[in-house]
Amino acid sequence: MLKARTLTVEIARPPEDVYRFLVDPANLAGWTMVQNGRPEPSAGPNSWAYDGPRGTVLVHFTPANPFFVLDYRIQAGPQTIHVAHVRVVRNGAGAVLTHTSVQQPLVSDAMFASEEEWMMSDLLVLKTLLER
Amino acid sequence: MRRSHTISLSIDYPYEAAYRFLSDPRTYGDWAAVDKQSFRPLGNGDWEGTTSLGGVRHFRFTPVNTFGVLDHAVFTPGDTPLWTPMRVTPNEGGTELTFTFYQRPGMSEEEFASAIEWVTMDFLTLKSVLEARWR
Repeated sequence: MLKARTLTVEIARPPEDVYRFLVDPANLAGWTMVQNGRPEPSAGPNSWAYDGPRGTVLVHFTPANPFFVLDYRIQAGPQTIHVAHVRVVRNGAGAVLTHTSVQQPLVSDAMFASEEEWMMSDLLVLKTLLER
Repeated sequence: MRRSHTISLSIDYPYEAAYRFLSDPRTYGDWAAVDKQSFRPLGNGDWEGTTSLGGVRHFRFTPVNTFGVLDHAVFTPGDTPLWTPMRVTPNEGGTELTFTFYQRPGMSEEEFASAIEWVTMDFLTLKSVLEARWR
């Protein structure tokens, strides 16, 4: 098994709102390092390309679903560089987002730890953006 | 919003088999804090059982789905079910499990911390039950 790490962030917005924002791939550029999202149908029905800090990446998203599951896989060239299982769940009038990253074979421990710190920072940006 | 605490653990047991096991309510008494002998289906799709702390509760489970979602609600008959989110996802030949536990109304900080420990114990039990099946 690969190492996995779960991050959670509480967001004071209804889970429906959080999911509606996150399920649209165009919104990813608003709170992460990637920019210029565009659909990439040749890679899959739910795949988008983005310009990232280290070049173009493909992100493969989960189709819309009633469970507010937002799993994704990031590909750079032929290689999968990140896999995460994400879900938004209800907490009263607010939401909890859980984000479980699975360390890919080509990712070192140090790089994985660094990615998780960036991810937590991104999630806090997301929280601020949605609670504003 | 209530305070929440998410438990995550890795289980060395294949995802498909773990989901099949956990999505069958009949296995709930094998790992959760409910008396297995008392645990039985009601006519309406819910289940009923006596919890380890005493007291009869009703249980409602998420229908089988392709996302590994295993949310379930434990509630006193007549009350509004409080759903606890739970999900399994694949990790190579094994499984990752996440479970989010909420502080219930009237639950003190100490009781919340204690409840988290009890729930963590349940999941360690589940981990050993599943990993023992594998071997």
